[in-house]
Amino acid sequence: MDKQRRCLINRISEVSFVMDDLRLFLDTHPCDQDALCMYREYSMMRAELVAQYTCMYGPINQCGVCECDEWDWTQYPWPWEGEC
Amino acid sequence: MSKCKQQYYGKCAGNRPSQCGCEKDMGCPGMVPPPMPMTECGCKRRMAGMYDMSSDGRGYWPNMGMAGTSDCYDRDYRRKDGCDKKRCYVNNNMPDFALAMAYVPWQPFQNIFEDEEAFQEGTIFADLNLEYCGRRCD
Repeated sequence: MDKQRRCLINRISEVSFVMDDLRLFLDTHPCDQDALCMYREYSMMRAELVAQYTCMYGPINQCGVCECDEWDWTQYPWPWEGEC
Repeated sequence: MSKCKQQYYGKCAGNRPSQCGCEKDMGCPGMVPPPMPMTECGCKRRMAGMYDMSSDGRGYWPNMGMAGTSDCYDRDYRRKDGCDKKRCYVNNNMPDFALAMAYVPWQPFQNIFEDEEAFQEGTIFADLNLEYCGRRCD
């Protein structure tokens, strides 16, 4: 995996983790505006990162599969092929 | 039942009558636990685990949550079961709290790690990133 791709997927993992922990906090603090604000910010950040990754390297999960004229979920290397 | 908005500060024990001015028994709404106990040996590190009482009435943090600086291990505390491990023990400063009750302080949204550190530590909250120094008494 090239450096840029690894960097991007790591960033997505970090942002996704922050969102997971924020979600846990918001489950018990649903009106905490600071946490809500941060969640919105990270939600947008993650969407941008995933869009960027998908555009460059293909879908991360089935939700990101291109629905144009080809089902591209199986058109990229699989994890066991060492490239993702 | 009217809602009592006044917070208790270590004065509530079970469902006895409210001490905040309300007429009805309110239980323990919004009770604020006391500060984390400090060890007699001067350990000021926060400790994760369950606070307990020893047979002689002194409070201590059992082995599952014992943590702190190395100073804590300088005191020898022998238990009845023959364990001669040096223990870190503290005075009981929760005399007004009901026994066998669990207290979970309300977590404020503060001290957030940077993303990379949060991912490495497994939490975005520095306040929850407690060191685990427990060990088995064997």
